[in-house]
Amino acid sequence: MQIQVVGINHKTASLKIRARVGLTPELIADAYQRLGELHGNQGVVILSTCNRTEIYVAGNVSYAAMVKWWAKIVGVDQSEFVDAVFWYADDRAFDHLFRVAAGLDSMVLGETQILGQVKAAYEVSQRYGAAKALHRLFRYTLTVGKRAHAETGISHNALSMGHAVVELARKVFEDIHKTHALVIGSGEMGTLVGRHLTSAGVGRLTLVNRTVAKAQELAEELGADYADMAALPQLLRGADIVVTATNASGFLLDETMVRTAIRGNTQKLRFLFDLSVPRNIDPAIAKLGAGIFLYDVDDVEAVVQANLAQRQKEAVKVERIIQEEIRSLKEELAASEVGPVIRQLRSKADAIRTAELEKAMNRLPHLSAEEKAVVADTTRLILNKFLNDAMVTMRSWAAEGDKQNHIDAVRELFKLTESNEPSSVPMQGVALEPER
Amino acid sequence: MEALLAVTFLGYMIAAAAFVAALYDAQWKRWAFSSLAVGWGAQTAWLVREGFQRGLWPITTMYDWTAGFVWLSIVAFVFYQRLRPTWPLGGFLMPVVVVVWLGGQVLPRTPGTSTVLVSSIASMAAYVAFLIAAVFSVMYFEKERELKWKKVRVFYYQLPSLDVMDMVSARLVWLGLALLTMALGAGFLVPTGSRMGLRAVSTVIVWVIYALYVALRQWGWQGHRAAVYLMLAFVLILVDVFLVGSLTHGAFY
Repeated sequence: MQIQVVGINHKTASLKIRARVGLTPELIADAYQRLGELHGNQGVVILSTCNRTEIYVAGNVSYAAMVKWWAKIVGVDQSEFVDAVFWYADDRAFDHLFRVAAGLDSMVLGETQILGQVKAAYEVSQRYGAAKALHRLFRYTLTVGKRAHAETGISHNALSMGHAVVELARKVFEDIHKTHALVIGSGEMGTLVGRHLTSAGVGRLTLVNRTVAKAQELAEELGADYADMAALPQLLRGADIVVTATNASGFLLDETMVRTAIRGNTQKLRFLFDLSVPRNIDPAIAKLGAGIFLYDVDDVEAVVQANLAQRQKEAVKVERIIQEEIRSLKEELAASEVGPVIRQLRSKADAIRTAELEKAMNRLPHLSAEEKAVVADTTRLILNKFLNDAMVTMRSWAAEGDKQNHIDAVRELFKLTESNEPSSVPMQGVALEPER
Repeated sequence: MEALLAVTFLGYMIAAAAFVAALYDAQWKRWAFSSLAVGWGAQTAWLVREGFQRGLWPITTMYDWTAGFVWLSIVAFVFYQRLRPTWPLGGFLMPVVVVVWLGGQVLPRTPGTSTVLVSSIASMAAYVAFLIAAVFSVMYFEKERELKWKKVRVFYYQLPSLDVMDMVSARLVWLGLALLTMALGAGFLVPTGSRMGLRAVSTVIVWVIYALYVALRQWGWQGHRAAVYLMLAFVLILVDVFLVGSLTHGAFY
């Protein structure tokens, strides 16, 4: 049985194509109800997010059939998106799905949201009874995702400007909920940083804007205080974190204003972020006290880049986890193919033994119960010893790539049937013995 | 070098190297803690054996004092890990501990005959608190340097936030000062000989240095300036310990 994936993602297809062939929850429900049209499938899971649409299929289904079925579901001609479609099978499909779940294939390296989306996709498939032969793969996938985030730093360290501001502040102030943050400017960047600070649990947030009404509007949304520019010198005295993000052409915070504000308390830790272009904070302020840290847009961006490099380093560790889990998954999948043959062979051999033993016992009525038990044990021992090497060899096939020919040969040689029942001897009363 | 001391040395050396390596690759953490446990176990066995052989607590010489100081520093480190996991502390503390331990090996080992136990242990614990406070100050200094220079590297990612390191240093000094006060009180109450004067004077000087730190913090000292003060103060302690050790020919009292 093959496991394959066909799909498109942000690397292979434009947003327009992704939107065109993406599957909404309604379309996914429809797709699961039309699985009968995808002949030969033994399990399907559909993952559709804004960055990717991927269809995982177990069974002997051709690439063409999968794309055709997908096109039918979304009602789009194949020619419109087929050039953007990728297709992977078996090991490469496992590797791809594991990378997706760990966030290695995401636009933002190491993001955690995709793991939840993969889990949700699997659960929807289960709800429709469609996952079938893909259960094991998705169980492993969720393990890979969890391990990646728990055992490595792939999802640590901020990769966006707003988040990086909070992260930097936390490098100075452990308990951000004890700090007072001042955000000057209620434009796009000011709003973004204000939201990040609020969700990080900043103790007190004051928004300052030239147009007070705008600051008030945002303050009401964020549960913050607001003030006009005139209050700035006073607010600076108690502020631990100051962020400027305005379009003003000159310095809003100059040396004199800050020197006055920090007078008598120059060693207090303060983090100033100047996210404005041109600058709103005089760079000379950084030298006013040992406790002052001043970062501009480029400095914050440099931290974001350093964080990205850190995540890329962690990605190597995630790759190791992925390879480990692929090895385990392959062993488990292979064992699941060899296992039934082993069970069938043992069942058949034991059924023959039991039947022949019964005939022999009928011819030896004078034997005591104890003697009968000895004879029965001896036959069982002979059988186990005889089958032992065969069992060990068959188990070793689990790790081999061309095991299917061997499995077929054993089935043919011993006339084993797929139904897990021996073909020539009835199974009644057969108890499987552990190997000795 | 006898076997237990050799194992102690190897354990601490490997732990120091592994803790530093762990700052760059966390996989070394397991090595660091394992070798620390081996070194500490060997040193504990050595201290117990010395105690039994001499029939009194092995704190009668400067050699003993440095050995006990190292041993107690590691106990304090492990205890702090349980309170608030900060394993990168090991990357800064262990190299200092190894240097102190090695420095102690050159001191004479002629055992004394008596000791003021409460005073000795309290002063040792106080100095351990000052050592860890100084180590936190070094960590503060390094992280602050990365943040100021805007070149984020290993300390930016691994070390606690600046305010925590500053606060922990201050609390350790307060604790150390209380212990040192107790040590001085106990020492004065039990006179043990003519050299007591030199040791007591040096301890009083250390007490004054740290009492001044506490006073300066009340006046607003914190962060960078406080960190520099604590680093210098501990260097002074090391000089003092080894200087007094040589003046007293290795005797603790």
